[in-house]
Amino acid sequence: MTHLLLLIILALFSMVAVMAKDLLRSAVALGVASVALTLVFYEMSAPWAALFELSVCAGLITVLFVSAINLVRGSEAFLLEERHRFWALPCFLVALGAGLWLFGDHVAPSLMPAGDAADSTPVGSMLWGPRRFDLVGQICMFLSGVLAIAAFFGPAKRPPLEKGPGSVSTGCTPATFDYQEGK
Amino acid sequence: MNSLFFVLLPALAAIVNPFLRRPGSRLADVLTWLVLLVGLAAAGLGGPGPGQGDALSALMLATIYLISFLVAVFSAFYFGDEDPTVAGKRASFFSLILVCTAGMAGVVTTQDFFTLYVFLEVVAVSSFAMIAFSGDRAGTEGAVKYLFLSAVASALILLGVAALLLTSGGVSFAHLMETALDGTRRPGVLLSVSLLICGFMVKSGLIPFHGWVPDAYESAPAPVSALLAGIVTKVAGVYALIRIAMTLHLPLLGGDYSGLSAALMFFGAVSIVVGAVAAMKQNDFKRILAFSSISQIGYIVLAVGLGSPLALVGAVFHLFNHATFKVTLFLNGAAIERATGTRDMSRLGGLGSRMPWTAGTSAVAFLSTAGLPPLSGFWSKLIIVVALWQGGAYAYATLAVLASTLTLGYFLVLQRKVFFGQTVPLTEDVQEVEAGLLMPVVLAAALMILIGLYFPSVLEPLIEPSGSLAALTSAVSGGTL
Repeated sequence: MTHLLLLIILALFSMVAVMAKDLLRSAVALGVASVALTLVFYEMSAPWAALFELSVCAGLITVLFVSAINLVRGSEAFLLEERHRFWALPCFLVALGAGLWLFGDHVAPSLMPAGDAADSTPVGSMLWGPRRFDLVGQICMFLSGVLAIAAFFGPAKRPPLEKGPGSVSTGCTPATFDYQEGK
Repeated sequence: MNSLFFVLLPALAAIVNPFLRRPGSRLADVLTWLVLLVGLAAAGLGGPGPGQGDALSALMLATIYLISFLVAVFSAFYFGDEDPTVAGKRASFFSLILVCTAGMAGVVTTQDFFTLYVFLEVVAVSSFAMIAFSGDRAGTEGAVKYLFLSAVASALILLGVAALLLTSGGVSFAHLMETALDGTRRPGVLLSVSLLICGFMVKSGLIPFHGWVPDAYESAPAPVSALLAGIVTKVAGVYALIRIAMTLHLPLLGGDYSGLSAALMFFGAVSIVVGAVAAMKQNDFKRILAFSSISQIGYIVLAVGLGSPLALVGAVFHLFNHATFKVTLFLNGAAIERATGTRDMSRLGGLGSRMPWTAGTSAVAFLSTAGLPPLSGFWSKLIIVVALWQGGAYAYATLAVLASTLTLGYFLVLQRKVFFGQTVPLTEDVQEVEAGLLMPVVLAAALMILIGLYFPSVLEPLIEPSGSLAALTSAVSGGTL
C-alpha cells in the first residue's frame, strides 16, 4: 500500500513539474518527486540508489534550480518565455492508471518487484542508522543554499540603480545587473 | 564527544542567527564566537568519540574551529554596521561562516568517501556564497570561477566514489584499505583512487589546477579570503589527500601505486616552485599570498606523495602551521587595505612605524612561512625535508630547501615595500587598526612562536595520527596482514 501511495505521489508531482506555468513551482515539485523516488528506492531495497537520488536530485539540483530561477526572475527574457501546458501528459497518466487498475494483477508483479524480503529495516532506521551523517550533510546543504539565496537576494542597502534607455527593471541583484549592463 | 556534535552545533547556530537580526545589534556576532569557542574547546578536550574519528580528525577539528573563530572575530570588527558588503545581511554572513564550519567538521569526522563528498558540497556552496557576498562584479567573477572548477572536482570525486563502490562494494575508508590490500581488484582501486586524487588536487588548488585560487582569494571580501586560504582549501583538498595516503599506505603497496606516489610528489614539487616564482611577480598583497598558498600546499602534497609516517607527520604539522600563518597574513592584508585603501605594494611604504602590531605579526608569519627557526614553520619544513632525505628523494629534498629561500625572498621584498623605509604620502596619516582587528592576528602569531619554542611538547600529539600507520607498517612487515 505504501509503495502504491509513493508511486502515486511520484507521478503526481512529476506531472506538476511538467504542467506548472511557474518555474519555481516546477522546481519544487521536481524536488518532492525526487524525495518520493528516494523512498521508492528504499522500499525496493536499493539504499545506495536512494542515497544518490536524495543527495543529488532532491538536494543539490533543487537548490541550483531555485537559485537559477531567482537569478532570472523578473527579467525580460524570462517574461517572454510562455510555457504551454502539456495536456497530453495527464491524459496519458489517467489512461495508464486506469489500465493498471483494470489489469494490475497481471502487470504489477513485473513492474513492481517485491524487493529483498529479508531486508525489512524501516526507512527511518535506514536513514538514521548507517547514513545519518549523510542526512545531516543534506540538511547543511539545504541550509547553505538557503543562506546563499538570502545573501544574494536579501535586503541590501544599496543606492537605487538608475534606469537608462534600454535598461530593464530586472529585480536582480546589482551583481547580475552589472553583468548584463557590462559595467 | 559524538562527532555529530561538531556538525550540528554550528549548523543549528546558523539557523538561529538570522532571527537575531536587529539594527545595530551584535547578537549574531557574539553567538557565532561562542559557538566556535565551544567547538574549539570540545575539539581540544577530546575530539570525536571512539570509532567516529581519530587523532587526525581531532587535530583538524581544533584547527577548523580555531581559524573560523579568528576570522569571525576579525569580521565582526572589520564590517561596520553600514559596511556595504554586509549591509542588511550581517546575520547571513555569520551564518555562512557557521555552515562552512559545519561542512568542514563533517569532512574531517566522516569515515567514508560519499559522506565526505556531501560535506565537500556544503563547504563549496557556502564558500561560493561568501566569495560573491559583496555582490560586485569581481566577487561574482571569482565565485563563478570557483564554482566551475569546484564542480569539475566534485564530478571527479563522485566518479571516484562510484568506481570504489563498484570495485569494493562500499565507500568507507576501511573498504578502500581492504580492497587495496587485496591485489585481485587493483585496476578498479587504481581508477577510483586516481579520480579521487585528481578531484582533491583541483580542490587544493595545486598546479596545474590553480586557476581559481588567485582570482577567488583576490575578489572575495577580506575575511573570506582568510577563511578560504587559512582552512577551507586545506580541508576540502589537502586533508582528503592526507586521508587517502594514510588509508592506502602508498609506500607499502608499491607496484602500480608507486606511480600515484610519484605523480603526487611531482605535482607537489611543481607547485612549490611555480607558486613561489609567480608570487615574486605580483604587486597585489592578496595575490602574493594566494600564490604563496599554492607553493606551501605543494610542500604538504610532496610529503603526502612520499607517504612515510614521518612525511605524514610533517604534512599534518605543515597543514596546521600554514593555516595559522596564512590566516595572519590575509587578516593583516585586510587591515592594511582598510587603513590605506589599497593593496598595491608599489603605493605603500613605511607602514612599520605607523602600524607596529600589524608589521610585527606579519614579520612573524613571513619568517614562519619561509621556515626560519625557532618558529613553527621551521619545524614542519624540517620534518618534511628530513623525511624526503630518509626516503631517498634527494632531489626533492634539495628543491624543498632551495624553494624556502625563494619564499624568504618574495616575503622580504613584500616586507621592504610595505613596512620598511620612509612613509609615502598615502601612509603618512595612517594609524594602527583597532584592538578587535589585532586580537586574532596577535593570537595566531603567539601560537607560531609558542609552538616553535615548545616543539617537543607538541610533537607527540602530532605523531599520534600516524601511529596507526606505523602499527600497520610493522604488521605488514611482520606478515600479520
